[in-house]
Amino acid sequence: MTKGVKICLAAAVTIFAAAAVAVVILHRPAESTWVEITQDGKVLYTLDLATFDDETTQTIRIDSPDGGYNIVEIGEGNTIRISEADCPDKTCVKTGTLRYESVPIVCLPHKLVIKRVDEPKDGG
Amino acid sequence: MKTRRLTELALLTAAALIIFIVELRLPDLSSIPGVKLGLANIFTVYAVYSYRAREAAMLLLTRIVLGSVFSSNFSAIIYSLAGGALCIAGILLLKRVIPINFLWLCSVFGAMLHNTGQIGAAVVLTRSPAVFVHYPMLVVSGCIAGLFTGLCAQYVLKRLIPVRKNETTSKEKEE
Repeated sequence: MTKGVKICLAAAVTIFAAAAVAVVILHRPAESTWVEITQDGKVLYTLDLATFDDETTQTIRIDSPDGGYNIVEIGEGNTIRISEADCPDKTCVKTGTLRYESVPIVCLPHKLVIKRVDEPKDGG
Repeated sequence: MKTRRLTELALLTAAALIIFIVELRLPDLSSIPGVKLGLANIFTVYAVYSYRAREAAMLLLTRIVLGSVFSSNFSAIIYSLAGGALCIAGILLLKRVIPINFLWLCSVFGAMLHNTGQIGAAVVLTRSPAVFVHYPMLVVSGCIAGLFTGLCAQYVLKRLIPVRKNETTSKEKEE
């Protein structure tokens, strides 16, 4: 084992450990009930999930400027998810409901991001 | 000799494409985009260690372009290209430091760099730093996937080197 290999190995182990710690820290359940829906960097909606009816399901259709669409569903127990999209990879649909404070739902083809935000202090 | 090399590279590209398409058919391991085994990476590291830098880069570029055409997922090509470019640049540099016995280490770095490039492209394209939270998860999965593909490539190379030596020596005898 040469010196170069040792340095590389140490670097790999350090990066791996740091990333593992970061994963644990980032996957905390969210405390705030506010969510923000942004497209291409612009805020479309800021919603308080607690104000929605617990039992019923509401949907919001978001059309992308380049033609596609996503359907955002606010469902039982004030959960939010993307229920339908016409993008090829359907990653946003597979992500499921928005659970964690720092892990957003992202639709890369439509540049759509749904994430948890803190409660606005001026009452929204 | 030139034709032979060309054929070998074409064959490798074809094999990499096949394994890439087959992998797409497998169910997703995780809901996070980009978390996958990346079996085609086996061919990238293999090519880096057995061909010239230019040839390995060409193989990867062909695989990415054709791969996104065949999988009809053309919107992903920018992410793949960004990841691939960073990955191949990193591996080619590390190859000077890391001998063939530690090829797996090279592959681990390659996988991590690939994910770095992808996330970088995603942050730039969506203009949303929020995408960055997937990065640690991608690094962890990249390390594991890179280790696996790296070991695959290393075993393939170790089996093939004696064959190659025999081929060249028998050729020299003929001449």
